[in-house]
Amino acid sequence: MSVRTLLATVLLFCATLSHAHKQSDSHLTLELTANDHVLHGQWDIALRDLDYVVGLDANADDVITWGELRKQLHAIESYALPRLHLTSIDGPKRSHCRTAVNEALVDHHVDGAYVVLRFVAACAVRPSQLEVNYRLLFDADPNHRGLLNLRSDGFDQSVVLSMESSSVALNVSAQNSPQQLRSFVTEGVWHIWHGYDHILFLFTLVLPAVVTYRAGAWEAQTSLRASSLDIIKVVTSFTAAHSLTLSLAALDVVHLPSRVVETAIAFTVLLGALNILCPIVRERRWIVALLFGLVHGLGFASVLADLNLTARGVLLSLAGFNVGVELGQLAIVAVLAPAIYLLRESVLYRRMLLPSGAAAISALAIYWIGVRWTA
Amino acid sequence: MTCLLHRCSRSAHERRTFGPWCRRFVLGGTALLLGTLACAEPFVPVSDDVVLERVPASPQHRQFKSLRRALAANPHDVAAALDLSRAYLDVGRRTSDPRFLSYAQATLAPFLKQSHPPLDVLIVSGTAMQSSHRFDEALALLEQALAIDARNSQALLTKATVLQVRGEYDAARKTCSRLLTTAEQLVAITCIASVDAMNGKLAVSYEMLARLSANSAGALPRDSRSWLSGQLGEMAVRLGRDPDAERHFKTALVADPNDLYVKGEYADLLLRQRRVREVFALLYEHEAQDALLLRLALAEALGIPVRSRRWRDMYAARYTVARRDDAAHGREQARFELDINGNASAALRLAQSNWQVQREPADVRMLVRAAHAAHDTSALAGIRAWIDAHHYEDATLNADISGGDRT
Repeated sequence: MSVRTLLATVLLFCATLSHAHKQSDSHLTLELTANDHVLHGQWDIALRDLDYVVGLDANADDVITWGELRKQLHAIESYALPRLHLTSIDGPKRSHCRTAVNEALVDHHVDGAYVVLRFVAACAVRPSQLEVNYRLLFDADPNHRGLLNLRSDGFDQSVVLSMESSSVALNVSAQNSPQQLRSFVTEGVWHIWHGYDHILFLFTLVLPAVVTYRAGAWEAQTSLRASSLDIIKVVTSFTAAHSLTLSLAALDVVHLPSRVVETAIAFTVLLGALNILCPIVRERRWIVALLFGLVHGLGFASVLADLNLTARGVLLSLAGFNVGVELGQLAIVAVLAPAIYLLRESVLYRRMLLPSGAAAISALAIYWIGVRWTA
Repeated sequence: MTCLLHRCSRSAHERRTFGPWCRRFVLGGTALLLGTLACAEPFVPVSDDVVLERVPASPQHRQFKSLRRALAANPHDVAAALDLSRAYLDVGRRTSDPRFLSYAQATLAPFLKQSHPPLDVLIVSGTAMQSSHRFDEALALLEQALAIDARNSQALLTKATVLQVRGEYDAARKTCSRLLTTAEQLVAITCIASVDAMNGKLAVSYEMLARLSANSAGALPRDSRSWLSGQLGEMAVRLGRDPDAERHFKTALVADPNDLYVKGEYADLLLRQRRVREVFALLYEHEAQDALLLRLALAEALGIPVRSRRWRDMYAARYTVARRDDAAHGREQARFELDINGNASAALRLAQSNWQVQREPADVRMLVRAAHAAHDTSALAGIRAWIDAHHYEDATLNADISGGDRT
């Protein structure tokens, strides 16, 4: 099967899905970044709709090719752009934002192929409120809808625009909204839960807390107090360290390439696991947590960077994200600590689970080091 | 995937019944996987020849172009607008593609804004609204039409249909009887019989329509024949006479092989009898149709001969994108939640809001099953009170209703 045939099959499949019988929707995403007067927009409009109002299938063979679409891009722009009015409102000042398309791409949604118009809208003033007036297709299809998503300060607002409610004014500077804070807390929790490297590193420090290394073997730790204190010290140091570097990185004080950071994180996981197999640092693992936690914090920061924050939103989101990471981490420890404390006497834990777990974590960490460094 | 391939190759000798959908399955699955990967990001196609989209095609679709040109040349010509709107409406109803129903509405919208819209504009717009399940708007337009011509048979029939679907049987029957004074006797009788069948006279209505169908089959146009046989099939199902129902569904499909509504009803009968392969054979070409895709997903979920998720995932994907408050799909979405996701409370919520819009046999069944599965005694009592009040009969309900007694 040649690449071309394969590609054709794939695209045909996307095309067969296009007959999914749903009403016509367009997807409009607007993004306002860092104290800017310029909105970045993406507008996905179904080819079927454009074929109806602009005409795309030039040779009437019931198939729309990229060539046919390309020839009509200008017509599409002049059809679509006048049907979207963006007005920047700042106190009493209102100004119309001038839209211009940068590039046109194609995307396949579940219900068919869409043209993707990436555009900028230049407003005279940075809006504190943005008014969106939407009239695409309403003259041809009264049941059409525009699904608007406005992203500002890393915070999303979604509105459905229809012929009955075709205009909406949205607050752009909502940096103190509790909703936004909550979304960052959630983001933090998810990040730690999905970031297996952070969890495994934490495991390598917490797992030995219920045992002590004596004469070449792990023995059960007798004192509950000692175990608890050990866990608390480890978790607190880890938290303090990664909070510090997360803040420094998010505020752009420190900046390291993500390949280096990610590989270093994998390396800390490896060292943590090896320290169980062949304990070098025995009593003061909290120092390890502190030092290596600094590296993990740099890793968290890359997530925040992906969220495209404006300077105004950074502090709040930083705090929210950090709280989320801590909550997520506490939840894990709350489950793990009692379980291993109960298991600590058993030979199974000390001779099997602990060493084989550490070996497995080491293997995974070596794999990560390889993958991340060569990425 | 390997497992699936293995099964398919083993069954190659059974290709006659098994082959087409099985092959499609594997190819489709692969394409879905690649498609998902390929579809992940907006892109610039590699060459001008890349096919991006297929537009719906048929001789009728081609006709749209000339009709649109005719209207564009003379935008105030009501007759041209009606021709185009009727063509859209016809395709929209046949394919249940909501875009065409919207186009039909939009084509007539300028004429509806006039202080005295023409009769046909009101009727066609009303029918388009009915097809989009916007029943209030449909009734308002039909009332306006009947104010102009009280004996207009199309307006009366459409109005009766809307009223019946909403469960307003007295009003529906009254509207049907007004048809008796028109030239359309046959239509009037069918109209009354189908209302009565919801009101404790199922067996009588069935016998009457069956006789009517036998006596006048030749005289009826094809679409009426298939519609009548489809009605008879549904009634036979409710009477618990599945072999008769199957015969009617087959007759309907001979008269109009593209009657997708009948195909859906027939598929439901096959699903009840766990005749999964026949469901695949009947519907595999129609996965583009949400309602029929759902039946494919349901058949797939029965796990015969192999449990898979292709259609299920496809339906789920469409379900997610169609999140608009969608009157036209409440029934199917409830069924998806109950029979595939196993989420009885979500199913009940959807079935209850669907019940506010439409009350056809499928909606009654859905609500009973969802209430039963969710162990919601008050919902179950509500629908049972409705069933008793209207003397609604349905053999497929018996298990669920008696199950309800136990809880």
